[in-house]
Amino acid sequence: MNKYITILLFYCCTFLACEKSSDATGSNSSGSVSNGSLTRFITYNNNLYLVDNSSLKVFSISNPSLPVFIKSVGVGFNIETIFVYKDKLLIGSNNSIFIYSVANADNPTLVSQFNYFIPGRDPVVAIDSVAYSTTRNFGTNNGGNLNVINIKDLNNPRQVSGIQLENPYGLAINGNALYVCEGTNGLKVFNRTNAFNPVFNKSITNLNETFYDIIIDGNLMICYIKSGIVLFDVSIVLSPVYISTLKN
Amino acid sequence: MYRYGLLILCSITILSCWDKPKSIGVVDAYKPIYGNSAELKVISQKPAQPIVSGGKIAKSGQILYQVEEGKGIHIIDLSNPTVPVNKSFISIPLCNEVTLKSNFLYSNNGIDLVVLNVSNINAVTLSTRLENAFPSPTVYFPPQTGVYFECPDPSKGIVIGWELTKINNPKCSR
Repeated sequence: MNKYITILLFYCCTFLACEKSSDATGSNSSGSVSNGSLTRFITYNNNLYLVDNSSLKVFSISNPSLPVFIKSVGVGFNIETIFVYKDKLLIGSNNSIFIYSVANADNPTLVSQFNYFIPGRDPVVAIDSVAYSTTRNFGTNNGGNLNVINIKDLNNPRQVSGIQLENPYGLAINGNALYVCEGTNGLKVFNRTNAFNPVFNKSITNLNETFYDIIIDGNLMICYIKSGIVLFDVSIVLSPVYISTLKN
Repeated sequence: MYRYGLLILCSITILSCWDKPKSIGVVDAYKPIYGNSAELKVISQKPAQPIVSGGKIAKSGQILYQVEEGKGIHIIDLSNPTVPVNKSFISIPLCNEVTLKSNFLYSNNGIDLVVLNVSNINAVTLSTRLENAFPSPTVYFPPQTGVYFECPDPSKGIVIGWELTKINNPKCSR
């Protein structure tokens, strides 16, 4: 009897451990390396993926010092960002989000494409069946949107809500919080306890910096600003606490 | 006579329509800066440089790498988050991107993919260069959007950057 309980406990622990490591922050990371949402370069397992303006390029980095070109996949136009979600790549372009499966890492295949009503600059992040993207309207400080997209059925992504923003750039998920860089308008915090309906919580504007993108690393939030970085403690995810700035 | 007048009027109307998309006049626009490709391929490590036009970031262990748009990558030590330290600078002309795997950093030197060994951040070395592997978009247009720019002319060399200036009727926009 004890044996069964031990085995059961073991399985539970394994399951919980997996649950924890499965992208708890929804950050753009692979192993111990994290990228911001605006990146065009990402490593995933033994491959390096790059997106240029129109295609996805795949390199093997089984030997990390010597990438070997595998293939180039035509994706679309005005591609800007790449994000790893489970064994999928979410590729952001001015008009769409493309979902590619990398279940076969060397041969990315298109799963589906989500098109925006209003095109804009577009980074995308995702966790647990929900994707968030920002689309910044063309022109300077012309506003934009936070798009909430249900990707439970990856073959049929659909927008479930949208929130108007001021001047959005990169974004990041951290537990129940979603952080959005708003350029000269600072940093916005959304409560995503209901993942498909994030609610504006607060704005951080007192630092007078231009916020562009974010990496979450444990309790540390690293924001890239126009001339350096700003660090926050995000132990309480909805209440980032300023730590320091490095700039100039 | 009246007939001719009508013809001229019609011509003027048509021509004015025809000409309209081009007549934006003198506007703020980006002009390509061309460079010599040999010196643009020199990658070297330098003492810490000020972060002026900070770019994308990637973190591995306690080290944060931040792109300096078009110039290289800052190596920043975050071991003590209350005092982040700007340790040194890797000069990579025309650089915009950065990511890593284990002790290797991947970036772009213009349209070349470059791999740097960062196992010792005080002695970063170039491991591999794959020429033309990354047709960096900034070679074709400025990173900013919603802007006009002078269309690049490949015969003048490789585009190493963009400067904001006034241009009369720029032909390209994004």
